[in-house]
Amino acid sequence: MPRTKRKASANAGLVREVASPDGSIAFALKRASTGVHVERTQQLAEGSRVMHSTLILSIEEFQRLCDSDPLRFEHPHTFFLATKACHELFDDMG
Amino acid sequence: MNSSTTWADVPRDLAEVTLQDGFADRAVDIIKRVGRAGDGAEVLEVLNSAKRALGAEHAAFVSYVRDDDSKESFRFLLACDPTWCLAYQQQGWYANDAWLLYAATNSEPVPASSIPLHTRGQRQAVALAAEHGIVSAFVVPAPTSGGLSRLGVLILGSSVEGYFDTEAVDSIKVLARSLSMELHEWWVRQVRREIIQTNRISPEDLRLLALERQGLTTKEIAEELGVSTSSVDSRFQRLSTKFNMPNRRATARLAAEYGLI
Repeated sequence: MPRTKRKASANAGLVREVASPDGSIAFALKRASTGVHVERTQQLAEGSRVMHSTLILSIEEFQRLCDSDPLRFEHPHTFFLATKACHELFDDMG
Repeated sequence: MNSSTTWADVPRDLAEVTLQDGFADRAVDIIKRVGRAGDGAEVLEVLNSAKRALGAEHAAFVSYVRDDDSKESFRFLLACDPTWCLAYQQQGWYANDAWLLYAATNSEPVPASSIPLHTRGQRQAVALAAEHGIVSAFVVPAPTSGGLSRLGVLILGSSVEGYFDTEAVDSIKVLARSLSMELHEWWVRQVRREIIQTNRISPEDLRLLALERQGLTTKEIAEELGVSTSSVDSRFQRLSTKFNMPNRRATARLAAEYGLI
């Protein structure tokens, strides 16, 4: 099962973290003043690590990002949980 | 363009931006905020403001650290279409990317059009950027003390062909370089903090690694710290395990690469 957890960040924003069971892909999502900050970290087979950090302004934008992600087929449940977390963060913003 | 901009917002000529009253002052005020940014969300908000102040539609900052021949770490701060980065990553072009290679060996900010493309992969990488709205780009290296094993580079982009190929680019050069270096410093601080917290590295550990990096022997380190040689050896063993490195020399090198010492 993918892992999800919530934790309070240093500046009081709630961070939602989702990771695939093998740790190859992980998302950290945090509410920002203009949207949701998304950190996508991928561990590559040879030990390298690639991290993308971006600000998402709408849930549609996050959905588009997930739809473009080649790992969505390998870890569909992780992407489902990340999308759910993103929805919750946008909902919290009202 | 991203969802918050319209065609009307997009400058068609860089000089339209650089000739505005207070252009440089506004940009400097924004760039100064990078150092105060607490986390990734805050620094991205600053990067979004900075790219607009410098007349760019898109901005990406890439930070690269190589631990050894097999272990690399790429970090992308994306104030642009993030799907560009996913498509780029899928192709695995990093090692031969013309813009990254330029930044690895040069410190001068230049329009991307002046960087020669030698391979098919390099031409494809530039074409991919154009597909995602970066038709013209300004490549701004952040010189570091880490040599080829550590680099930072800021890419400013525009959907207007030849946008960064005019004399107006001279007006953003110094500012873009400052932004790139501030972003790099911010990354180094973030990574340093992350590693120290995650691995619970103490100030004594950092002192130990710094002495190893200076080339001191176990005996010399023990004398310097006022402890026994076996204590030095066991501390190094513990640190190598924490960093998942084969020996103390590699551990100290890794600590230096990540700016811990």
